[in-house]
Amino acid sequence: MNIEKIIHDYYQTEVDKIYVPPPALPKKGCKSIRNKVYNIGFAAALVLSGLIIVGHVDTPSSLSVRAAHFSEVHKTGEVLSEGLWKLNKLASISLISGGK
Amino acid sequence: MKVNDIWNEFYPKLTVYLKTTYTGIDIEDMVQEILEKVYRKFHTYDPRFSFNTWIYSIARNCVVDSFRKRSSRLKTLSAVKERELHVSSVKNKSPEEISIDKDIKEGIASFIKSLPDKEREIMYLKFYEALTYKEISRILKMPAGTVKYLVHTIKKKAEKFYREQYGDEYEY
Repeated sequence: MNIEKIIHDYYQTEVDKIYVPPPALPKKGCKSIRNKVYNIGFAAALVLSGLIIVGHVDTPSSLSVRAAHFSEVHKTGEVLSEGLWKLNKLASISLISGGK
Repeated sequence: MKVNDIWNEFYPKLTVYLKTTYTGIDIEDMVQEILEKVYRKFHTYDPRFSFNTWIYSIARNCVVDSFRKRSSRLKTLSAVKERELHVSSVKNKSPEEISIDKDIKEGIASFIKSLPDKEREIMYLKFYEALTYKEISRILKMPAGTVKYLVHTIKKKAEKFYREQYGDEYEY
């Protein structure tokens, strides 16, 4: 028996005592795929926020404002067309009656 | 070598390597971190060199990085003092009190713990992993001549310790 062997045996018994848990390593490519998904999501969010800022895309609140505005415009249009129709009617009546 | 083989072979080895060499680290976390790094960097392994050298280099870099991150340093002095006390308590035990194997193992454990960090590391790599001086020098980033000198010193220290502990009762 020599000192090197004694030391080696000591380490070996220590190694043998260690419980080896099941591997907990990340699956190949998992991390890179996850990163890609994150990157795409981030890019999409960036583009969307840009479009909202320049006004090409409505946020829910701006959409409701726009809808209200549209209905106002629509109502005005209806009023106007109704007025014109009445004016037109009056004019035709006066033409038929010869301005009397 | 498959991932599972590396895990099964090196999980216990790295655990003992870290346990007997360094203080102040979370061994379990560190072993997992090292093996994850080994797995991620597997494509960079050069088969011309020993796999053990490569894996222990990664292990050492991981430990050094973690110490750097925590702005800490190896707690050598306090640890050695603490272990010296343990060594002297072992000296007071008579061989009859405990079994021979247990006595020797405890003695060796105390001896290993009483060594400075660098020597403990060399001791593990040389006497357990049986790496060459050149391989150890590559892992520890020190000249092979220094490694050789330190191995010789450690061996002398170990023999002296063993003789003092067990006298001529146990032949080695």
